[in-house]
Amino acid sequence: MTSSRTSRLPLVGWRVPHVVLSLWTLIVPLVVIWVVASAVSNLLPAASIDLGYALATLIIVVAMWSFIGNSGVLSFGHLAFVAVGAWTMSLLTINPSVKSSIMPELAPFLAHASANPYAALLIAGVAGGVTALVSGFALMRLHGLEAGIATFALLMLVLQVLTYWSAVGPKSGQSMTGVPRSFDLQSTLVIALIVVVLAWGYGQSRSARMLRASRENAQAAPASGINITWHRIIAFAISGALAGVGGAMWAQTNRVVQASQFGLDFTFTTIAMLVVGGMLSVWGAVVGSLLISALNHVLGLLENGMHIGAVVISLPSGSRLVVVAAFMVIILIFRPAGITGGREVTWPFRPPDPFLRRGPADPGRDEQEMVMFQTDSGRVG
Amino acid sequence: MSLDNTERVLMVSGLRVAYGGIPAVSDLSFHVNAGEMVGIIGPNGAGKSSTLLGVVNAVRSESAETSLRGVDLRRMAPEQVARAGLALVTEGHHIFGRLSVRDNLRLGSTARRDRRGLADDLRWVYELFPILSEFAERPAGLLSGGQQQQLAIGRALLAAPTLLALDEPSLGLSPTAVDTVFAAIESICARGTAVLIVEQRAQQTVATATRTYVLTEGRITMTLSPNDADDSALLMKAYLGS
Amino acid sequence: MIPVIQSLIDATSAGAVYALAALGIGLVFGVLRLANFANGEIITGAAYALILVWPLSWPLALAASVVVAIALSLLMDLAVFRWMRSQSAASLLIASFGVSILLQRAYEGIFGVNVRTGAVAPALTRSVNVGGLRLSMLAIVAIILAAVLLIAVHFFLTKSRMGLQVQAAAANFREARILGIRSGVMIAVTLGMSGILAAAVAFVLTTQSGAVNPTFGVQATLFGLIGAVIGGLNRIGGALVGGFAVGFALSLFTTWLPSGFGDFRVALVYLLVIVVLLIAPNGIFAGRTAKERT
Ligand SMILES: Nc1ncnc2c1ncn2[C@@H]1O[C@H](COP(=O)(O)OP(=O)(O)OP(=O)(O)O)[C@@H](O)[C@H]1O
Ligand SMILES: [Mg+2]
Repeated sequence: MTSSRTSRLPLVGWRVPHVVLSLWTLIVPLVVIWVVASAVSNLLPAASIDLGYALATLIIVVAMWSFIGNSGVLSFGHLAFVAVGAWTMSLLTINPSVKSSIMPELAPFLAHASANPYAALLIAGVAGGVTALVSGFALMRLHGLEAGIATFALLMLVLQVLTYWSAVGPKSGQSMTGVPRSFDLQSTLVIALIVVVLAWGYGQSRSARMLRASRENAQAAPASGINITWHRIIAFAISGALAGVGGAMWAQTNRVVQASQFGLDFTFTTIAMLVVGGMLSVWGAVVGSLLISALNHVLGLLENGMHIGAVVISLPSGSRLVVVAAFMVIILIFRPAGITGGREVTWPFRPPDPFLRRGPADPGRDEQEMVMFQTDSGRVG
Repeated sequence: MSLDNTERVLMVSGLRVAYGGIPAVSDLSFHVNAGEMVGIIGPNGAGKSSTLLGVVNAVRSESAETSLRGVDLRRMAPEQVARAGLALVTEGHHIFGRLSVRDNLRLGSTARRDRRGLADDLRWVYELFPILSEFAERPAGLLSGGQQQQLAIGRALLAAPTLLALDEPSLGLSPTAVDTVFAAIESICARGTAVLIVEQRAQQTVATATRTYVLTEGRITMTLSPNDADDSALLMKAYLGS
Repeated sequence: MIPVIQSLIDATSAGAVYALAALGIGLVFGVLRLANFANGEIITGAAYALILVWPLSWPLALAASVVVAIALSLLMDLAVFRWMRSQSAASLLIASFGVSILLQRAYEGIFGVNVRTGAVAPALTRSVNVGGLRLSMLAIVAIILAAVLLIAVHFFLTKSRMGLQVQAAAANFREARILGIRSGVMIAVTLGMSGILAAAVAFVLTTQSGAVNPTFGVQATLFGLIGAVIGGLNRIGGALVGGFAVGFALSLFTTWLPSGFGDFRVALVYLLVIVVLLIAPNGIFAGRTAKERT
């Protein structure tokens, strides 16, 4: 990547260094998250519980982006790493005496293990990353639908093990209660911002660039895929680690953890967030997850009955997911690349050079943005 | 030339095809009259295939007029165009490899209801390409490239089209196979089916076709008659662009 | 010896059910490139029809389940998938995931979260004794039903004019259209067939369980989908065998895993799926397919 590329501000006439253009794609999402979170916690204190969930989910969605967005490979399996992270966090932070009473058959080293919240968070990330790394060796040769289904099988496998193996958790199907709330909203926000920075940073790396460049060709030439497979495994591991962190944050927000929580509904919600925002950019992941979380919050209020003037609006419970699903389907039909078009935030002062308009971070990217949604001219009408 | 007396089979004017905003065919106008064989030649990427696909609406296209015997094709789905009487043999002759040769041929006659006519046409196709009757029960995927091309042409003929459009029927064929295919095309034409043929073999095409359009960068740059077939300088120029 | 035979028959019947589910998914994928997650909700819809209508009249219930399944299958295409024809298989899969979740919630709203019980074909829940073998009638009926449907589908696809056209559309959609094959009709026929297959699955499963809830069809569809993928999605026979294998393995694990490991039978199936995909990334039957595709 040549860093000499610059763009001219049309009015002012000085050159904007490439670094600024690319940092812009990070700063805007960070500021937006920070502003939204601060606004909500100050203006709508009642919404702060949902804000905690929103930030934890944001971490998970951004983690998913770092694999799906860069590799263009569909994964339905990331909730496996989320579950592993949530499990790790719970096992390390639940009070040992509580632990021994709800999980009598726990393996001894787990029964005695405990850590302070930050260490537990890191370990959760490592656990998610290692799980992803190991499974990545098996799964990353696949692409397309096969990859989607195989990652899904991985999720089911992990959930089944967590459900039934009482050496690593509660008796079959029961939940782990008493997970302490380790982070307040402020720290949650900071952790979310750090995750965004990490995911973005990975996106700037050479490995991620190569992966993006391969999105188009990987399917056509799996023979040349040794390198690609490696870069995919790296992406999978990194995104698994971030997802583990997301799971840990989610666990300490929800405070009750059970394997079945990480099933189809949660998978769907996170995928919908990614699709709605645009799965090919961090900006898309951020926008999608904030938007759907907000929508969820409002719908939740409506489900409980909301007073608008003299009218009480009340939706049947379960309508949240209906609306989210309908919204996602509509986006898929009318704007398949998502609200952001799968693009990063662009420098607002459009440079006159048509080549630079393609987005500051990665020239020629627009064409590839669309690969996951490529149109097949064979199917007109 | 007294074009006015002859019947127009295909009339195309102002055809445009673009992929992702990049034009492949711009403002193209041409026609095919009854009983004619009309050629389109041009370098790789000139937009020849796009023209044919655009006419049958297999890719998105725009035009001022696209009509087959006066019937407007522009708003039709590809299958409706086929049913209106325009059979296209696509580049690389996509036959259905897992189905038998006979089933492939049967698929060509999807839209037909006249059993008698179909039986006649089938006999004729078997006469044109005897290999098809010999290998009727084989999976089509096992045929050689040239045989597959014959199958694709035979399949298109069984639709009893008003116009047969062929995209590079000689692609990848040996010289004798090319001769077989060209001979078949001439007898198809002689039987009254108008033919629109896209080709790389300029000399042979110009010599056989009533009229040959030269396409470069999505536009018609020249129209050649059979007399031009031996003018190699002209053909060179046609390819290199003027 | 006898328990072995008995468990093999059970496994065959379980395999037959998942083979039907996989076949429906594989057919639709062939023509539409849609790996339809929401197939589960078609099964669920048919199951509700069976359970709710059976007490009134059993022929009516059978008819209703088939009609509901076909209607759902066509409607979801009309509402969602037909607007996405030009999009990638991945997008279609995600959209069908959305439709699936949406319909699950709709069932929840209409029929409630709890299971609805009702006896469907109670006569089939008995067992018969054949030379010391205790055979469940349902297992036998399931095997016969699947065999009949599979043969019917096979003959339809290979012997009828329409079936030939469906095969052509599945092999190369654009080429089929250029030949004059009506895409809309092919799609409707395929969706209709998948609806019938879903209704058959619903029949066997409701007879077995006598109960239905909003997520009733999810498991069969998951295993069907997974079976279709490991068999090779672009080959209808492959999907079929894959689905059968998944059901067969699941049933054998259920019977033969030592107690204590029984809980892990589903996990084992998923593990097996991953291993199979590792060995044959495009599905077990993909090798021949790739060669034949020119
Ligand atoms: N599906 C497509 N998507 C994008 N661009 C396309 C597509 N098909 C063709 N093109 C482009 O359109 C232009 C014309 O292509 P076309 O296939 O019509 O050429 P052609 O004259 O048939 O060439 P050839 O002799 O090689 O067959 C080319 O530049 C090609 O790259
Ligand atoms: Mg061409």
